[in-house]
Formats: sequence, C-alpha cells, structure tokens
Amino acid sequence: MTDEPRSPAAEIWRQLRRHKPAMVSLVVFLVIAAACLAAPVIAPYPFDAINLTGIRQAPSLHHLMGTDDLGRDLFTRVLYGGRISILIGILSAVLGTGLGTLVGALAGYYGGRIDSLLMRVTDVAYAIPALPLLIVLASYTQAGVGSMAVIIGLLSWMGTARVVRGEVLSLRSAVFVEAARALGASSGRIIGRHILPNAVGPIVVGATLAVGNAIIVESSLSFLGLGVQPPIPTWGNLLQDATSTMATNPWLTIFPGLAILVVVLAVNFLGDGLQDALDPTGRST
Amino acid sequence: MSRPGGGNGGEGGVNGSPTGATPLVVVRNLRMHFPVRRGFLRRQVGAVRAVDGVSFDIHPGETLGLVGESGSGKSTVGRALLRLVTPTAGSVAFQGEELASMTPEALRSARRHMQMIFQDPYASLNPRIPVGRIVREPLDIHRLGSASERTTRVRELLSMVGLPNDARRRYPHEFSGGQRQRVGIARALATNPRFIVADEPISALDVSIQAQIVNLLADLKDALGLTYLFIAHDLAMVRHLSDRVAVMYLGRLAELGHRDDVFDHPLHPYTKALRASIPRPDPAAEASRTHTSVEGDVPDPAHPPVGCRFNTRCPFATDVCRHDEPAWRNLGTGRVPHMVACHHAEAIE
Amino acid sequence: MTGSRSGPDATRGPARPDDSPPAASDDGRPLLEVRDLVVRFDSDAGPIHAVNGVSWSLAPGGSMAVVGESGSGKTVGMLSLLGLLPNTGRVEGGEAVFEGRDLLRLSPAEMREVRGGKIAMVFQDPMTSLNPVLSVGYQLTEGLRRHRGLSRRQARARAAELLDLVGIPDPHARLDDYPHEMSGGQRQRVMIAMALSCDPSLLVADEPTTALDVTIQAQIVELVKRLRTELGMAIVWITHDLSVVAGLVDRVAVMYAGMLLEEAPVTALYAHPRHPYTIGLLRSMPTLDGPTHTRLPSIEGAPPDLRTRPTGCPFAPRCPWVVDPCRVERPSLEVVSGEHRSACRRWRELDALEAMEASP
Repeated sequence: MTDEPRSPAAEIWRQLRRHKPAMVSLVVFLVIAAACLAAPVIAPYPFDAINLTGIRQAPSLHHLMGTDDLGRDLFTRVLYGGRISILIGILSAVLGTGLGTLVGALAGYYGGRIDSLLMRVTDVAYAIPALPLLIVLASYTQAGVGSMAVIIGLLSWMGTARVVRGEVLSLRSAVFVEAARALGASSGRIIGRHILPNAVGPIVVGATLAVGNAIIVESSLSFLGLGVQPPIPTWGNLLQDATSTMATNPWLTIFPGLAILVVVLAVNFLGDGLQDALDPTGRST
Repeated sequence: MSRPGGGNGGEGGVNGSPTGATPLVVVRNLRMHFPVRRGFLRRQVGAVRAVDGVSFDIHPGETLGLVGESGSGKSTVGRALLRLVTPTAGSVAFQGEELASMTPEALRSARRHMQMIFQDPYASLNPRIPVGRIVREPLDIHRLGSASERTTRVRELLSMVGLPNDARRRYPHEFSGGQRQRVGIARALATNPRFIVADEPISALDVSIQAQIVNLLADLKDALGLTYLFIAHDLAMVRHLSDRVAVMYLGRLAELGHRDDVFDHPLHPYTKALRASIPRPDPAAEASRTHTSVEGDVPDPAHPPVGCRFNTRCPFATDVCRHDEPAWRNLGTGRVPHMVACHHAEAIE
Repeated sequence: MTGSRSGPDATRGPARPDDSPPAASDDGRPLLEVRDLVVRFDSDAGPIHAVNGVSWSLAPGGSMAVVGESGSGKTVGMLSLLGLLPNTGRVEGGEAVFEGRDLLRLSPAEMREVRGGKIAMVFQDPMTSLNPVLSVGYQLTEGLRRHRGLSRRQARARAAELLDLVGIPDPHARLDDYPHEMSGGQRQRVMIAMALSCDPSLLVADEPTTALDVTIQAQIVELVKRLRTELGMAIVWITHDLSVVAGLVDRVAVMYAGMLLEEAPVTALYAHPRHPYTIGLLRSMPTLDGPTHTRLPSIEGAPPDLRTRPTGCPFAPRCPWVVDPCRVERPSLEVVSGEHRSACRRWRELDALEAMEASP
C-alpha cells in the first residue's frame, strides 16, 4: 500500500533529523555512551590501579583528567563510571516514567474512586522518607545496576503520575476523545491512541529530567554505602569523593561534573527534539 | 410538577409521530440531571436539569431538526441518544432495542449503526493522527473488512465527501474548517450507519462553506438512506433540511411537528419568539421591526421556573402557567401530529 | 482610495431618497477616513497578507457594517486602526484620518486617549473582556474616574445611569455584581455601557452578538439601534452575518481576503448586489420562507491562502463568472451608482449572467 501514510516511526525520525540541537545531542550522547561501553579497550589504565607516588596530579598528557587521591587515572574512572551511571539513569527513567504514566493515565481516565485511590497512593509514596526505605530495601537486595535502577525508578514515578493525570483529565473531555467513544473505541484504544499521544510532551520532559536526577540519586546512594560500592566508579561517587578537595584539586570535581552535565543536557535536547518530532501540528511538509 | 410522570408525552401515540411507520429511535421521558457539588466533601447541593422529561420518535429516513438556545439541553439529548452520556432516567431505544439494557460490549458494537457529527471540526479530530487513519479508525474498531478492503473503503469515503485521495497522509491541521468537517463526516459514515446525530455541524464554519456542508449532508442522506437528528440554532437551516422540527426550551420540548406547521403556524409562544428573533437579510423588513420579540434571559437550568418553563418571558403567561406544567398535546389537524406544551396554545394562535 | 471617487460631494447620488444618510457631515468632512490600509502578519511560513489596500470612510453619526468571513481582514483592519494588533502584525501602509488626525501615526499615549475616549469598542466575548474578580461597578467607574476625573460618588451615579441606559433593570443594585453573576446578554450590555461611558463619537462593535442566543441577539441589536438614535454616535459593526446588520446600519462593506469587494448603501446591497461574492453569500443563505429540501446555491471552494499575495481578483478561483483578466489584474473599486462601489470588472453584466444561469 504505497499511498498509506508513512509509518509513524519513520515520520518521527525524519522530523527529528531536522532538529539540529537534538541531532548534535544524539551524536554527543552516542559518542559518550560508546566510549564508556568500550572503556576496557580504550581506557589507558585499569580503573583501580593505585599509584601512591602520583596522587592528585593535575591534568597532563599522561593523565588527561589528572589523578585522584589514590593516584588513580581520572579519565579511566570517568569512562568506567559512565557505564553504570548512564545505564542506571536510562533504566530508572524508563521505569519511573512508565510507572508514573500508567498510574497517571488510569487515575485521570477513570476518575472517581480509582483516581482518589491512586492519587492517595501517590501522596503516600511522596511522603515516605526515601532514606529509611532505601536502607531497608538495600538490606534485602544486592547493590547492582539492576536493583539500583529499580529502586530509583520506584522512588521517582510520582511527579510523572501527577502531571500525566492532569493532562489526561483535561484530554478525557476533548471532543476527539468523545468522537472515539462514539465510534465504539475501547478504553484501551482511547487511552493508547488518543489520549497518551497528546500527553507526550510532559511525559518526555519528565523522562529526560529523570535521567539526570537518577544519576545524582545514584551518587547519594553510593555515598551512603547503599549504591554501587567502591572501588567500582560511578559519576556520582566520583563527584562525591571529590567534594572535600574541590578547592585544591578542582579537576576532580570538574570532569565528572562535566560528564553528568553533558549527558543530562544531551538527553534534554533530545527530549526537546523528540517532543517537536512527535507533534504533527508543527510539521512542515 | 403537577402531572404524574411529569414531562412531555409519556404515553405512546402522542409523541408526534406520523402514523404507521415503525420508529428507528424511540425516546421516552428522557432526563439528564447533572449534579452540582459544593464544598470539601463534594456533597451534592442540587442538579442542573439539562434534559427534564423529553419524549419523541425518529422515523427511518427522516430528518428531525432539534432547535433551542444554549442551555436548552438540545446537545445533551443528542448525546443521550447515542448514550455518550448516561441518562438519569427514561429510555432510548434504537431499532427496537433499549440502549440502557445493553452490555458495554453490545453497546460498542451497536455504535457502528449510529454515529455523530460534531460541531467543532478543529476539536473533534485528533491532531496527531493523519486523516486516512482517522477515517479508517471505525473500520479498525469494528473489524470490518480486510486491510486492503479498509484502504479501498477509506478512498471511497474521502471521494464521497469531496476530499482528494492524497488527504489521507495529511494531518488535520493542514485542512480548512470546511474540509475538516468533511473528514468528520467521512469518519461518521465509515461503518455505514443508519442514524446520524449532527450536532451543530455547520455553526463553526464560514458562511460561504455552510451551504456546501448542508448540501453534502442532504446528498449523503439521499444516497445512503440516512436518518438524521439535526441539532442547530440556525432556524432557517433547520427549516431547509428537516422534515419535522422539535423546539426545546430549558430541558423540555415546547413544540414538535411538521416543518411547515412549526414554522408557518407555530403554536408555542417560544417558537413564535424564536422565529421573530431571526434577523433576515432584508433591510426593509428589518427596519419595520419595532420592538424586541421576547424580553429577558433564559433562566438558570439549576432552578427552572415552576409551571411552564417559559412563563418568566412569555407575554401570554397567566397564573395557570406559573403553577401547572402544561400538558403535551396534539393540536394538529393533518396526518403529522403537531405537538405543543402550552396552556394557551389555542387562544393565542 | 482605489476607486475614482473625487470627494464626498461628487458621490452623493442625486435621487436616492431611500438611501441612508450622506457620507459626510455638514462641513463635509468624514469622521473617519481610511485610505489604502495594508496590514501584514509575520509567520514561520512567511508574511500573511491580512489587509491589502482597503479604503472607506464614515460620516459623523453614520453607521457601517464590515461583513466578511474569518480571514477576510475585517477585524484585523479595525484593530490596526486602534493600535491593537498582536506583536506579529504591523501596518505597512495607508492612513486613517479620524477627526483630523492620522490614527496610524499617533504615539501610544495619544492612542490610549483616543481608545476608550473618542472611539470605544465592544468585543465578541463579553466574559473574557470583563475582569472576573472585579465588580461590574468597579470596572465601569474605573474609566469614568480616569478619563473624566469624576469623584467616586459621581462615577457611581453615572455608572448606574449607564446601566439603566443599556436596559439593565435595577441598575444601582447590579453595580455590585460580578461578571459571572450575570447572563451573557447582560454582560454584553455591561460592555456596551462601558463603551458608552466616555461619550464616544465612534463605537466599534466586533461580532458583539455572535456568542449570544438568537433571542438575546435581537435584544442587543435593538439596544444598539436605540442608542444610536439617542446618542448620535457613529457605528462600525463587524460581522460575518449579513442578516444581523440588515436593519441596523446605513452602509455595508463586504471584505474578502483582505480586500474590499463591494460597498453600498444597505438597501442597494441586499436588493442589487453587484459582486459575485455578495450574490453568492446572499443566495447561499436559506430563508424562513424560501423553498426547502432544494440544493442551496453554494459558493464552491475555500477562501485563498493569505500567505501568497493575491494576483488578480481574490475571488476569481471561486467565481462562477470568472474571465481571464480577473486572474491577472487586480480589479479596482468602480462606482456603480452614487455610493455603491464594486470591485468586479463584470458588474454591469451580472444581471444578464444570473439570468442566463437561471435558464439553462
């Protein structure tokens, strides 16, 4: 069927390619992710190689980002750290956004008691102090990438749920939704085809913010000894380690911080571009 | 309410139907009250009686025009007929089957026989779906035909409503208001429905486009043998398109009868007022109009007047109008009943 | 002026007693004279040609309707005169002389003084034009105190007078009402009262009855008619509905795609339209005594895309009587008779063309 509309995915990709910041961000992100993935190959040192004769060295040709207080090569550790940070960031953002969207969509669409119930659950989830919960959870689970992502995801769906509920609540009374109901569409179809695609903006924004947030949360968990354990580096715990020497050895803060900043920015621009690409009303044909 | 069972024409036979034919849609004592809630506990403090006891039939192949001002409940009647809202009371039967007693599944599949055309062609189309998929969606929902048959059917529908075939790939925002309304009509026709509720289908369109859409609706009716409930506030358009006309005021029917009877010999003071309020493109006639046909505003539907609902604005209102609700009676002399709810209909005619 | 009018005196037809008041006052000067107004909007897809050289004039105390569909430039043209265009829009040419001053060259401060002073406006949606958190009385007295320097007590008395004038019963009590406590018709009456508060010499009404029900519309039209005779102000009534203004104004200007296609005294326009677009509009409207179940004579096609500057007559693509020159050459407004002007090059032939169409 050649005169069928282009497949939505192809159309979205075509639109995304026109969005320059998003494409630049995508390339930057892919380069960083690939470099981190290839860390064992391209890293100049083992990530835990201690060199007590060369501690806290400033960046040089031998150590592109300098060394830390055990003389370990920071460039190597940033590369290794990225593997875990990026993975946790994306996994937990997907999980948290997915859960939040589901809860928000159900609450907003069905309203009434279901809405009250789900929103009270959301309020309770907001109110639970994260730290005790984490300590309990951590004592039952092994601190690995997967469990970290699950824990962070479970702690970060509430914002998305509230935003999505609000969007769905207003879209539920949109005339085109009533039209779909008049056609005999099922609730699943109405939510999936007509409501959520029109609520994609806040969902994507929430997801991109969640990536950056997850990287930060992971670092605080690691600091408490609940996250990924040293000597395995993550961007979060690299930053955490550097806090005491920020004034004297700024590179130890700057480089991991820069890594987080670049990735979070890239994801945000990508989200921005995705939002535009998903909206046909802004499309030029 | 003084009459037992309240509301217009609870009993069969006095519902304004021409004799003989079996009605396609039978509406009896339809009520739609929207609760008014206040305060922290969302306690119900009252109800807006959007529709308050309405009965009528729609016959196969006819166009029933439904007119009224905002707040009259005419759009709510249209939605209740398609069960897009759940009525508070009363019954709606379509092809002899009571909609309220259907399972949700049965209702969904019955929807392919009764469709709706919406007022706002901008809001009624999902902005994120290309037109081809919008028109195809009813076929997908009701699993009608194979994939290629559906594609053929979409092409057929688009040409039926006068849209080019390449419209399929484009999105709603790329079309003008009139073209979007054509998309909405194509979507409504996709499943070959018998009955269509057209809720103000032209009032959001430009004047030069309105006639095109009205002609299209008339042509499609002839070609496909459709039955319409045509809801509008434009009386001249309703007269042009309808066979019978119902006039609603504050949730009740004021008058119902053959188009010519209602327009040329209106029995209800409200119908007369409505008719006299319509401006005509005729400077001489307009200049000779000396005073306003009806004073005052439509009362709050949460607190409708006791007795006849029009009594607060009616120049003929007497004590009986302020106390007793008028009966729904047939004053017609011809084959088509001419129903009216006015105590003084004979006297003021 | 695009046409060949040499002056108001020359255009006053010798024998049309049924026609409306003359286009000029005793001293012969119009109240407002618009010449070659051009307005553009910026958009992502290039400029939008909203108003493309429009000229008209209005006598003191005169009344005129500007009729057109969405995108015809009827509202934009008026807003541009009052300095109310949104940021993306700008006046690119023309002048608008009001009481001797060019409105298009006033400073923002001078414009504010004219607006709400000499020229008052009423908009389509009275709910959004009124501030929901301020009482009606406050909103009415605000202007009186600012523009006229009245004391609080004087302003309140005047406000009650105004409400009485626009037919709101029990005006003193209603001053303390908030907009949401009033019906749509009453809110529009309040808007009119606000517009009248500074004794304007021109009232601009932009689709003031479009959001109202037909029985309420009739009331508002009646009110404006009465106010006009009582107060003697000039009126420009912008609308898409040819019927509403038939009994209300002296002259009608028909706009389409940012151009003035026809302008005529009200009786002439309805009895003898001299432009195919006006003819098409009038024919496509069903009446309460015409035949039913016939095909309405509709205008085919859709209004043009304003992103491309029209060459030729903007109505040519939809016109049943189009000839080749229509497509290439922009028609000028020709004088049909007296004050009746048409921008159709074939206006002389229209009777014959219509007759031919009627008998195939």
